[in-house]
Amino acid sequence: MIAHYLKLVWNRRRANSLILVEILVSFLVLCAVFGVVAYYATNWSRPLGFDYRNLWALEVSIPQSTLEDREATVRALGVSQRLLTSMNAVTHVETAAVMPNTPYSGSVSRSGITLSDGSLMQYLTCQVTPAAFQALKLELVAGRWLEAGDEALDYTPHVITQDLARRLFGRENPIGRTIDSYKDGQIQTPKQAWQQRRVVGVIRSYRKAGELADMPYAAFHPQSLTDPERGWAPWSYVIRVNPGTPAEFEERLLKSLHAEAPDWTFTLNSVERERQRDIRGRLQPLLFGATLAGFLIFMVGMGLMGVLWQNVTRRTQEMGLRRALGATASAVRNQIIGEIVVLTAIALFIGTVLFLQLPLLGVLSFVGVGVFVSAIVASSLVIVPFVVLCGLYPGWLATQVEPSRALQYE
Amino acid sequence: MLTNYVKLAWKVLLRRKFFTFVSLFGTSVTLLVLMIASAMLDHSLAPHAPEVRLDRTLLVTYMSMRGDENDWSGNPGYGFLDRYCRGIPHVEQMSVFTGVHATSSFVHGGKVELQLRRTDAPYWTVLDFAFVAGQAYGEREVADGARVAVISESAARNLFGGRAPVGQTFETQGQSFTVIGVVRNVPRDRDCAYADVWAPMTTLPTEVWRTALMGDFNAMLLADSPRHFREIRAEFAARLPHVVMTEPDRYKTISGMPRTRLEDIAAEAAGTTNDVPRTGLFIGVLVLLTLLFMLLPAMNLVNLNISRIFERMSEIGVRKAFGASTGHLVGQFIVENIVLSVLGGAIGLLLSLWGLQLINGSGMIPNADFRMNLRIFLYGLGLAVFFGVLSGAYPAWRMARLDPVEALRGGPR
Amino acid sequence: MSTMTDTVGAAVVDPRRPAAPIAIRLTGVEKIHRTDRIETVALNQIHLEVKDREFLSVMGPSGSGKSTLLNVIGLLDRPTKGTVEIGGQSVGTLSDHALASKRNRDIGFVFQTFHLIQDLNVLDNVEIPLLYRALPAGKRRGMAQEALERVGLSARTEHFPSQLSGGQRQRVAIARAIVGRPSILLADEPTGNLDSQMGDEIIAILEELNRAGTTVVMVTHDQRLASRTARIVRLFDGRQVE
Repeated sequence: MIAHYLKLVWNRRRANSLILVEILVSFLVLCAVFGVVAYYATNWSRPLGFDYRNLWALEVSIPQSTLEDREATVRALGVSQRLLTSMNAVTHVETAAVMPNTPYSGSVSRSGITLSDGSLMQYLTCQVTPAAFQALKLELVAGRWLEAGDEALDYTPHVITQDLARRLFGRENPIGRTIDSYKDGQIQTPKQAWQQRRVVGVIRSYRKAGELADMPYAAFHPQSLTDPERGWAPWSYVIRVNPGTPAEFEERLLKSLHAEAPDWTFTLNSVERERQRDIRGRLQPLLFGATLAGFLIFMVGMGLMGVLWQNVTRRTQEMGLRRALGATASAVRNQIIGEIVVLTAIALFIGTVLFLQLPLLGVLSFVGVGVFVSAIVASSLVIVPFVVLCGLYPGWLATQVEPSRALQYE
Repeated sequence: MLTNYVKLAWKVLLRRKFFTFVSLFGTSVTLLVLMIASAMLDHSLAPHAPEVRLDRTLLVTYMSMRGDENDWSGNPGYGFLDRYCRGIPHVEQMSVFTGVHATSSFVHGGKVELQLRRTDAPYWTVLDFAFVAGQAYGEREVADGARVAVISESAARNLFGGRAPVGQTFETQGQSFTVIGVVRNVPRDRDCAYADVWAPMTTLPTEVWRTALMGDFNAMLLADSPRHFREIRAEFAARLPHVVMTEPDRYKTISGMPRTRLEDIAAEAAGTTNDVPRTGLFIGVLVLLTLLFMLLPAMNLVNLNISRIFERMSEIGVRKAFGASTGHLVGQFIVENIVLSVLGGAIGLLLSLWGLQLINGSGMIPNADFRMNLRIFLYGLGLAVFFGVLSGAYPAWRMARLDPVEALRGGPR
Repeated sequence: MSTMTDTVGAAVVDPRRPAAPIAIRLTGVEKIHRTDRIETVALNQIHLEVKDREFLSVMGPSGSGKSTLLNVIGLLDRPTKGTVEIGGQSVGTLSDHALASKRNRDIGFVFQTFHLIQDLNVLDNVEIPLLYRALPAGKRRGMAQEALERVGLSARTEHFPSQLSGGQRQRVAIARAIVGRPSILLADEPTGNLDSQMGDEIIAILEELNRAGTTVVMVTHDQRLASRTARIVRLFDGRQVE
């Protein structure tokens, strides 16, 4: 029977082409929407790696004319040390640490390396004080975290995320290995010995951009607050407070910071609030796009129903004939619906081929194939019942045809 | 004759209510979306208060410094703008100001969030703010580094409640400011003007910013006429090679270009760090997206129109057999289509007015004040007619080719 | 019971069907069309018995109810009064589903305007009744090929109706009518749209089918054709006359 519908639809393909294109476009629009949903859902299911509750991010603006001014850097480091001490002294503060890539913030600090196969890779580079572990509530899965004294070793200890470990070293044990950048197939040796990046520990994850984004690679290494050779004065911190901290905490903290460094600028943000803003900022366009897609598809549905209706009224003789040849009323209704489902299947097939070109061509390579497949499946599961729904009324109309009258139509 | 057509069209449309409804729905929703998008785009690009002179303003918002291994792109610094951008011929006025930054002030144990911007004195002449109380600061306050501020209406309400704001003080960033003026709220999409608090830039805590080539500043170059944009840009470009780099080991050259608002938006949208913004590409992409968006409803309508024709086949056949000319029939059909499109457009327009109200009230874009004006209304009307022609042309052509004998028989073959 | 085969060798009538002496019996059949304002009496007290393997013509002026009679026999219309028996089985109590099934198996239709589906080729057109019997594709094609051979069109299976002459189209329609090996063939003005030569060909085929064991009821206004059949029933204003 399906073969029969296929023959009918195929032989009428010129007349059907427009509605086929409409269904195809609707399918692709739905794939885009579901693709974004699937992408967000996949990301959401991965571990975040840190606890965003009761956490504050402090951004600091240091007036410094150039980075090469050694004296100024030494001064700034000294101020930073005192700031950290005064932060920890404020009531309700559990712990405070230097942390460049604060969660959900807009600024990103990254390092890029060339791997042995020539491909470029970027990871978040976080120069922190050891207290960052407790502040962010990270989870250690192998090796050790950074400790006091790490900033003065003859190499730079790194603690990396599981994803980064897997990417760089596969299934091998990353502890003790070095993170190297290649040039023309050779490992580039760093200018100074202490700059060698050696892995000492692995944490489960640190997804700075939040649950809905996909930034799996991060590495933590020590911040020196005394040696200007080993780094610059930090421009952001994270502060963990006790649960139930009252609102005046902000004012008190900022006052004590201003007292310590009157010519510096401070911006304090609640990480939880930033998270809400980030999520809203991502979901709003999605919602808007989905509403638009909904309107479009509703319109296509109505158009489809109209075309099918007109189709049925044009084929009353054929319907009457089929009844005369032994078709039951439901067989005639099923034919109307079956034909449009077959047409939809063709459209879906073409749409799938088109949509799968995206991963095949390597566009949007950061998105896994699973997302594309989920998008296709979800869209199909929406479009097919929708098309059937649109066909129900015309299908019912077809059963109302009286064969005797239809066949006598002259 | 035309009134005849229109009357007939009206009757036909009423007879087939379902088709009429579908067509109207499709047209109006499409036009709704397009008109809201146009309104928002027009708002961003056209001069609107306080940026009333935007059409003859060039903006310096993005510069790049490059070296062998380093590059730094972002807002220019005051040092660059002050030393190398003043006195360009055909520039009537130049204003230098910072970007807008979130800051907070604490009153009665509650936190008030404020967007703070620091500016020079010409800022208030290049832009036209609507003052509801007090006035702006001038050259003397800027020279003295006076701790004065102009605040927005909502900032005044949040900081001082019902009290008269002018003369009051508030603290932020460890500094105390005295309010000397209050202005009406500024919509977020006014990139140069948006803020809650404006203060002289000499109130910045240190002096380091004065000499930096890159920093947190923007400049507005108010030209005497848009016709001189080219000369201004040429002069700007000629000065760049003469810039003395402050860290010659790290950065060897500096590049950038004064841009119009449109070019600014295009550059940001395209994500190009190129100095030459591809405005043409940006507009091209917008037009393409618009056409694509209209494609689905247009196809729908074409489909429906073809259905309508087939449905009335025998009627058309009879008319042709009785001598109605093709032109007459096609004309009538096109009038029907236009009536439908204009109706759909009118509904779409009403819906978009309502939609813009919704967006303004929703707070998605702070202080949004999108409005319909004649220009946008004409776009919408133009789009509706274009739509009608697009979706009517192919079916009308099919109808013109219809053989009366076929039509009487009820269909081809 | 004997089965007569035709010259090609395939049995035309299903040999397993027990031959009932009366193929069609109408008793006291009336058909009244009612609209809001008018009542039309299409058939009035029809008593008709058609024996198995008869070739019957139904004649009458336009509006006499010939087509309605065919519709009632063909189970496309239920009579307002009276009983209809097909192959000995009373159909009054059958559901729509059962009626459709009976139509499919026991009755074949041939129409004046052929009613072929333009978008399907000849073979696909002929197959249609078998689709509603849920037969496998191979079997369907085989039976369709046989039916087309019966009417002499086996060379045209891939053609579309638009590519055939009127006579050829009617032959396809006949092939479609007999593909399921029904015991009864109903023909409504089968030669009405054909010229005399094509018409003769069609009648010849019908006669051949009748000889091979099919009961044929043909509505016609052509006296010449009707006189070739064994029996003529005349209708006037819904009543049997003569």
